Amino acid sequence: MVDATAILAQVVGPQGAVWLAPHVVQEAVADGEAILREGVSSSCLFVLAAGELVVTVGSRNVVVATRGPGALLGEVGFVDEGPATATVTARGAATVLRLDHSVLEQLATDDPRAAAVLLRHVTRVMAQRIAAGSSGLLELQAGGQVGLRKPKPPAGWANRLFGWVVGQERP
Amino acid sequence: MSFLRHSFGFATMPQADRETLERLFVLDTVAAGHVFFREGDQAVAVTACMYVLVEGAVHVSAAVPDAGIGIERNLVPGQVFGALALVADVPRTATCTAVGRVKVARLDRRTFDELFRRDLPLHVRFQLVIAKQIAGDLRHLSRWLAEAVDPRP
Repeated sequence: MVDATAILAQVVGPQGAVWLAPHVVQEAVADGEAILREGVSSSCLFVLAAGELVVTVGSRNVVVATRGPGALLGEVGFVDEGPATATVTARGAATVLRLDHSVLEQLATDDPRAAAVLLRHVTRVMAQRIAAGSSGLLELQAGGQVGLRKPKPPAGWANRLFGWVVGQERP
Repeated sequence: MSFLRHSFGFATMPQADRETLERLFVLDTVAAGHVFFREGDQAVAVTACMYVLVEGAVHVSAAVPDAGIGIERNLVPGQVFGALALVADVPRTATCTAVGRVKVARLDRRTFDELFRRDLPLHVRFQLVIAKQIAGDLRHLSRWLAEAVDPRP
């Protein structure tokens, strides 16, 4: 068992962690097990408590990011209940904290302070990810590396950008 | 003026919520060519606004239009733009320009934050609309990048 409150505190701050801890479900994830599958609907938000998760996309399972403890995953489906935008698989044993969309709806009525803290954090993370993808594209454009009338872009540029968009830290 | 009734996300809110929120917006009319913000601008204080398009059209462009990537499209009445500035200190991710004479409803971040103190349940319902808007944008970007990472035959 991990200390869910301590993990959540890194994500939503100490007060938010106290409010949200009773609503998260702690789950063990086996090596190779997927918590999200690209194209399959999911309405769960995951916080990685321990271990490592690999983010892949496409039919060839191209690795675009590797995430460590404290990482937030599944935020888009958590908000709009649509299909996952990537596949997320454990590399080795991992532990995640899972929060269902239904909890968000419940909190919005029963404990709006907690819902507000959670939504503020999730929307901020999504905004930062869009900004990371946007600035990455601008850099590639400035370098003349992307564009139909430009030279062929460097190998792996889309992989790197996708990695930033799912929260991989930029070097 | 019930400009939120036909707006993405807001349409499903209770009418009383929409009417309360509409009173927080400021209506502006701008001339053709007016640039609401440019890609890369840092939105601060009063410039950190989201907009609901009420009348006319707004052109949105971002990143690399000549490659057919990023964004290049016209918004129609009811659509929202600039929502990221309400929730995060990030640069604007697109340039938004009035196509012809345009009427918009504008809400700044300070007003959005004040709603947290004045009416928390409504603030949360409003946050959820904004979150869905941003999730849609992130989903669009992710889908495009996934196609670039692993093109379909």
